[in-house]
Amino acid sequence: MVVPKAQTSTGAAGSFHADGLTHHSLALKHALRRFRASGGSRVLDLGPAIGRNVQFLSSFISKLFIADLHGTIWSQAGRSGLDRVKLDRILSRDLPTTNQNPIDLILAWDLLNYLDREQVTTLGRHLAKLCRRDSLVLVWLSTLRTIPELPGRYLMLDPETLRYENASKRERRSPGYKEPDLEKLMPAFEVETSYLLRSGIQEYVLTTRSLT
Amino acid sequence: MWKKKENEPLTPEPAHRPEAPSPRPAAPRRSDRAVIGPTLKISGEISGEEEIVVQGRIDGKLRVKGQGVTVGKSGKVNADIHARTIRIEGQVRGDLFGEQEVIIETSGDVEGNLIAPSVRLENGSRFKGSIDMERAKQTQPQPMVPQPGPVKPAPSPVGQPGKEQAAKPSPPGPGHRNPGS
Repeated sequence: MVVPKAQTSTGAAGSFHADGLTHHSLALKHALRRFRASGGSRVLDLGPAIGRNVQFLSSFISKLFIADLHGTIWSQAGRSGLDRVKLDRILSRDLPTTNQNPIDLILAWDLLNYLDREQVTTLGRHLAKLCRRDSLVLVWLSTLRTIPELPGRYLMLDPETLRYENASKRERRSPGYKEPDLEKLMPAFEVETSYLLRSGIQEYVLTTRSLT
Repeated sequence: MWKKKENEPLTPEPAHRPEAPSPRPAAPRRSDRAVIGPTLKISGEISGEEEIVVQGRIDGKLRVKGQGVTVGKSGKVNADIHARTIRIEGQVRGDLFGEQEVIIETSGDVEGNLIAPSVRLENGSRFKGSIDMERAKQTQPQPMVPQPGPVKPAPSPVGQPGKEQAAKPSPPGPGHRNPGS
């Protein structure tokens, strides 16, 4: 299957820094289309629980797992940060056990922007265990120098439109991950498609390379 | 053990009240709602057939037949809850089995799995766990937003309430681990 790589959206709107902005997501549209075409039914949202997203997803999925890693990681990181062992413990506790029913789509949103390289590797290893072949992961990386200090919330308005909300006024340096970083740090996944938005977000849809 | 009304002394009802001779004077109607007050801590299994409001703490199991359970803002429940409708304004660590609906209000904080035909998370609520959407779809005839446009049909149609395995909801486990347990 030929998939477009690094397309530039003409419909990109908003900035990573402001509150309540509309975000046109070609990657979400792509991921949902692929998810539905493959008969997927199980979604893992690594972000916080949002009623609107639950209602939106309930029209076409059978099970939704909400991990709220954004909240947990920040509440437990403290000043000393979060080492691999602590993160391992959080992920073992907060990610679902899927047994014979793997996750079809993982919504990671902008979480990776807030993890260092070791943490991304740890997260990738845990996520790979939840996936089947061709499971999808939606990941957004910032191409800007700075990002809001804390991750935001994405409300699904329709299959390609989100509203981005972020209450944090302060900023921090962006790790500036790019596609090669993703494939190196998360070797179980490969980039299926990506879209560069004018707002400074590179959207990726990853798929499992092979079962680990 | 339970209060019938808030701020009322705990006076257990007799198991059987003899019939009053008719004609019976019109007595004020008693509320069928039991309130577990904010200072009460209960460990064990609670079951019944009347509405329960939890403002205190429960560790164990809570099962109410055909009625609702509300965990108030000061309520802390470490238990699975089975009821017709479940409304959470406080903190719950456990699975929620709603025959009709589960609502997590803005102040609600839940870690567990939700199994109900209808699930509502209010803006600002905290939830971590899984939601069984197969059952949630049964009472949501219209999706909130339009379906994606040109989508290749999946092997089994999705998003059509009539086509679902409505009669046999999937069991809660093995799903999300309950972090609190």
